[in-house]
Amino acid sequence: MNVSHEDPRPRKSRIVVVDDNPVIRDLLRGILRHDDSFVVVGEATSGDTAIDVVEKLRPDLICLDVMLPGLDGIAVLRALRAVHPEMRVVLVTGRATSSVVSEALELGAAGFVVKPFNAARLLSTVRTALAAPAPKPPADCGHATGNSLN
Amino acid sequence: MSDFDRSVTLERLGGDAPLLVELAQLYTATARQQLKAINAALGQGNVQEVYREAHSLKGATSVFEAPAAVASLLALEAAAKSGNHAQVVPLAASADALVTALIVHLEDPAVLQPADN
Repeated sequence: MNVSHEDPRPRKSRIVVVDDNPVIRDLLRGILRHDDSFVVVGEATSGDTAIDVVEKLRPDLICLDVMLPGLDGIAVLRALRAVHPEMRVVLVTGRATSSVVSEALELGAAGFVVKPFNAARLLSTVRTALAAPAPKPPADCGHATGNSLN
Repeated sequence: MSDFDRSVTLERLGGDAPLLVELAQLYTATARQQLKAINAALGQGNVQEVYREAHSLKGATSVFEAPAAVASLLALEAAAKSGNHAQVVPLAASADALVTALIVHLEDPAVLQPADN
């Protein structure tokens, strides 16, 4: 008789939310609760703390605000992409200018959500990002999976 | 009086009424602080800080379907970004009045309940 010690429950996708405004963080957490396959494992309120939190928790996906105190979302995306290219990043922004969008896509952002967004749009974007193949590292960053930012 | 639309907001939240109440409670507490921060930055002539706070408050306010308050913060954010202090002062006063009206509206428990209750 074979006995499996593996947990039969599907693994939940681990998500970190990053926004300086507590209402938006609560909104993201609240909507992501609507899908049982997601679990929000942490949050950060600035670009600098985002890098620390992500380094510690190693989530599958990050919902990342663009305009943050300290390092902005694009700088955080660039830093994360260099050392954790497998992590999906969905940018959340109130101002999706063409320059921000093109830079974010070049850096491998897995999706964009523009405020104000609705629950269906956020959930759809996160599901699509998680279902896509892991992003490749940018050509100028080298392959550095497993490296640390700290 | 605010132009807050509960049904549109609730639809945006996927019909999650408890989440609406939770967000409204958090918003009414934090938005007051952000209005104070905007006024303090104005008093110091720190237009860059007005821009940062207005942008953040606009994002939080846009969670609720309240077009006038969001539009006033959008105008304040744009003026502050351009660094025009003379424009910023009246726009900040207008945003303060509209956001305060929204806060007062959301603090009324009846506003967050379904219309047929």
